[in-house]
Amino acid sequence: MNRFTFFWAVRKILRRSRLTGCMVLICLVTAPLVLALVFSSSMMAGITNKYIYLSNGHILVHGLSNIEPDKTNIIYVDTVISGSALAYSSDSTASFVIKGITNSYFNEQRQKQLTFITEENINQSNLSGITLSRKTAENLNVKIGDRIALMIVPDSSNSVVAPKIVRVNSLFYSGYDQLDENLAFVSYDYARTLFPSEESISTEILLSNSLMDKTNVITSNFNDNIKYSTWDQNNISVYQNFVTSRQMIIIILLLISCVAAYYSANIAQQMIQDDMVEIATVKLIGGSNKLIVASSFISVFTVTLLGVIIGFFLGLFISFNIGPFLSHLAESGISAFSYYLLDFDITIPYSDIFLVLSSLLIISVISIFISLRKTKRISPIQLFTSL
Amino acid sequence: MHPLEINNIFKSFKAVENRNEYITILSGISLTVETGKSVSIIGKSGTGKSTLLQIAGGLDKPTSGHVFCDGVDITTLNDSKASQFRNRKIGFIFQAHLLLDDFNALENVMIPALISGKSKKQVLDRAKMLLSDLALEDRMFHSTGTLSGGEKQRIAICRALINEPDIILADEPTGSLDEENALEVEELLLSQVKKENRSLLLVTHNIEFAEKCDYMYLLKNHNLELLREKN
Repeated sequence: MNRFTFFWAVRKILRRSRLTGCMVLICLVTAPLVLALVFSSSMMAGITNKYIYLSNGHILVHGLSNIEPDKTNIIYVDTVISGSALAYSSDSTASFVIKGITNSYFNEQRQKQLTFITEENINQSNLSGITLSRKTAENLNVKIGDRIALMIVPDSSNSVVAPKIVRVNSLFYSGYDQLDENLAFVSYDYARTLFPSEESISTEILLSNSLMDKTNVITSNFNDNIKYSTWDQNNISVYQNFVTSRQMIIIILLLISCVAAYYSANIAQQMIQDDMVEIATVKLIGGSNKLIVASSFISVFTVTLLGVIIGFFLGLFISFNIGPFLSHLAESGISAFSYYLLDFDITIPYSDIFLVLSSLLIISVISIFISLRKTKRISPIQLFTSL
Repeated sequence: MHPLEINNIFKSFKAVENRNEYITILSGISLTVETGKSVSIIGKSGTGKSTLLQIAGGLDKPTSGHVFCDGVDITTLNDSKASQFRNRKIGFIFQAHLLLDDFNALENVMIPALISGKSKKQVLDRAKMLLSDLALEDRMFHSTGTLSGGEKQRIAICRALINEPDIILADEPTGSLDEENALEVEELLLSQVKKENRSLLLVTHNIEFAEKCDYMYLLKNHNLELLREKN
């Protein structure tokens, strides 16, 4: 490659406002692409975690189990009792799953997923306590200290359906109302009285994060008589929705990146049109077609690459800062946000970003080269007809 | 071997009005330009002077005939080879200066050398020397947009000479300049060509300029007629 090739390419980048415009546009396309990928992946990971930690664990063993935590693969094992209930307040009704838990249930990992609201100065009572979600409390129009009636859906035909009065001891919210409004917590012992059947007992197992997608590593060691289901089986519709959504998002983003790549090619084409006289002059003084194509390619591809890199970091910057902003909007009463999980940890889906951005660059390379083929048709003789 | 040898060149075009009819522009033209000699061609507009120059520089192909430049038949070269050949052996100067606006005066002069693969360091001294010879030492780092027409044309002359070509082809190099600038550029071009012992083929309407060359031809009736030869 000739020295003049780079020299000319650099000058074009510095002097052509069209190229600066191209870089800004590619950057403005890339940043939302990265933001969309980071935001959707993080939100999906966040929701998945909420379901895992608050709903059924990574593995749900049906019935009691003697599985013990090993602190490396199996981190926590908790026995829970669960069943469905209808709740009545003086104003409204709600239905949810009641989970009976021991004191150790809200371990460090689960506490990260929740915020508890308690009040210190509530009156003493002989009534059993219940922890409702903030959303359910809103729906029932109750607050801490209020009483509600529970109508337990019987877990055996022998049970007598009778209302139970409980007091709201505390509230929780996970940031994801859709999950919250289907969940309430009571003590393990009280749950035993509500759901006496053995079938209501299950064991929630939490694994180390690295084993999240490899639950079979653990379940393959289970005895044949252990009945279990994994987090993706327990929440099959949510899981399938995520898989499909992720695929659709990537396809849409690939299409958007194709449009951005086409724009780069279009810029290359317009540049050739603008530089017709210059290209013919360079050919006249001995520049080969290869040199002209290489120089134009370097200039357009460099601005595309710079646009992608700047857009990538801009997208990451926005991703890391948009959560609190959206939470603030949701808090300010915009109802559209209330069913979205907004407080989640940002996880960067490197492989997805690499796939989308490398596609953008590869399609750019191909389409820029196709556009630059036109330089072959420019002849120095045109200088005498065009001037 | 001569810097330029034109052998029995014919050039005709299809008529626009009747595609079966051909218009002859050049008919059996032969011309030799010897090393260190300057040759001028005058003639009325539309007689084919520029076409002849373009064929001589390998920019256009003749209908028949051959052009030898330092022994190489440039009519047989493909576009890429012709470009490389022009870069090394031929310097062009046109009525329009054809400078690249992205570069300053000094860089414009160096471009043909950089294209040929030389480094900036290798050609910097020669580029500065040429610019000094043409009284442009204080304009080296100016962008082309800030230069006058005469200065741009002098830079074009430096650019044509930078690769030490065997022959300079000049098509109305002073055509767009006022009388004073035109005279200055004429003198500088001819003196520099003499100083560097290059050959020059000049096409012009300006008879005074043409008369300063070693040989002066008239292109008339599709052929060349020697008008004057300097002793």
